[in-house]
Amino acid sequence: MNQNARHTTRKQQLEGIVDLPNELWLNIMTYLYPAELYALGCISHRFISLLSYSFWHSRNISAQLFNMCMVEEWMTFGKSRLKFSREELSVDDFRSSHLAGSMLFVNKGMVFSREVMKVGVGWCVCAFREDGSWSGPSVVLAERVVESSNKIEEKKKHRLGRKTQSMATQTLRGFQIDPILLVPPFSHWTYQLIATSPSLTRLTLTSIKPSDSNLIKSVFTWLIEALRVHNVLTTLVVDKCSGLDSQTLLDFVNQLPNTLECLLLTGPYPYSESSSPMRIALPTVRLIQARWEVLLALVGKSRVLQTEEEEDALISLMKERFPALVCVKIEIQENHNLAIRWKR
Amino acid sequence: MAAPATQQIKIRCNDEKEFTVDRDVLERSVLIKNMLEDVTEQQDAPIPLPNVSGPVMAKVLEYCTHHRGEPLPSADTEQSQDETRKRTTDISEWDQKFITVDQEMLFEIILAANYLDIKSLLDVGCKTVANMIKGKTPEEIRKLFNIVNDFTPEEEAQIKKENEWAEDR
Repeated sequence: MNQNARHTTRKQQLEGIVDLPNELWLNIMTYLYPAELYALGCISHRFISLLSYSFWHSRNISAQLFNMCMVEEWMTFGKSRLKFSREELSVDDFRSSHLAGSMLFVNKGMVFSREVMKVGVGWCVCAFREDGSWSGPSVVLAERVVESSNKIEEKKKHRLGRKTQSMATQTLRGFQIDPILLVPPFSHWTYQLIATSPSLTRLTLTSIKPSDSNLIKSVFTWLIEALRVHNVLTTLVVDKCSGLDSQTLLDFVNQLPNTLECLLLTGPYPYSESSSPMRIALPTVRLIQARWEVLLALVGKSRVLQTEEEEDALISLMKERFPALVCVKIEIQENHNLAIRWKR
Repeated sequence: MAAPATQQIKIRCNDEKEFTVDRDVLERSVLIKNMLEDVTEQQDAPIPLPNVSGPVMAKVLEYCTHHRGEPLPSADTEQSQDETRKRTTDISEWDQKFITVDQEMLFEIILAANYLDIKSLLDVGCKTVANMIKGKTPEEIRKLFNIVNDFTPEEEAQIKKENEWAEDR
């Protein structure tokens, strides 16, 4: 066969743009906005697979996919359109994807709920069950602002957003937000994932209910073991864990790698609008008091913080416990969470 | 004093078409640049490029000649650009004119740029395809690229239902 004939044969097999190899289509997709990516996902099964793959392997594209989730219909996108399944994604796939830097840990197979959506727009949410099966991943659809007074306004805004929100202004939102996963305890899969992920720097505990308090102690045992393998945890988030008593949390935090830089206590805790970041009005809710007690207990005290001086004292003692910390800042985040952040 | 003569390199495409081109023009292609660096002695035999045809190579060379002398992106800057790049599909005026070709040629140019490892040309090609997709419905995209709809009627109905909000905007 001469060269011309060979060329013709190749041309017959590959006739147009659609025949570009997947890697080149992925490159093209990085230039598309959410609605355009969505349109691609409506074309054929091949493009659905491409979107599915890119969700895990391209930061640019998954950011765009996150942005799609400004409207509720996109929940369906993650569930039925991208057809994620256990078969499609192994632990290795996950570990090699850009989503592997962060994980949300929840007790028992997590189901999607309004509560979970509070964690933030654009977070990647998978529901893993104890038997190893999973649903999702899907992405958090819209910010569910915890303050009830804002709730209706937010809802209105999101409904309006369906038609009027400029895609261009949403473009970069997904980049700002850490992805998270919901993983059940007692799963060998989960242990393996943590123990074999050298870049897992963030862990979130969420929705641990009082009825789970005994179970969580046994989970912590292997969780600590798994985290120690790479010893790179820098952020611990404790989110709506009414079942996590002070002593258990204290024991857990005490065993964390000393690389910890940030401890986030999240939840709908009230705070004063006028408070400056360093003058947080003392929370009146018992739950948050319990958290502060934990921090104090960690450094050998046992009472709630009362003054800025005590905050300073706590900070310096925490720095002793976690030598990687250089300075400490207490701040109120935009989403009304309290954050205690150590900055290098 | 006269400037030193630029080294001329011969290449041969898959249709036997040969080109003799200045080395710095050809070195826009990382593939060819690496090949030339690997060859220590001067060789008269043309470099075979089995994945590129003559007409496509002519277009590629037109691009490379226009952009000769521009700095090549290093691996580091490429990576950081990939991470942070703004998702712009802007194409310079010259490049836009250059890439105004039929779909078949566009397809061949993208493949050639990928094979020859000419990132800037690959980006121009991919941006052009992205621009072709922008503002179109799935059906219009199918028609544009001659894509077969392989959804079942049930899947199609589901997609349509999900897509209502987007079509309404």
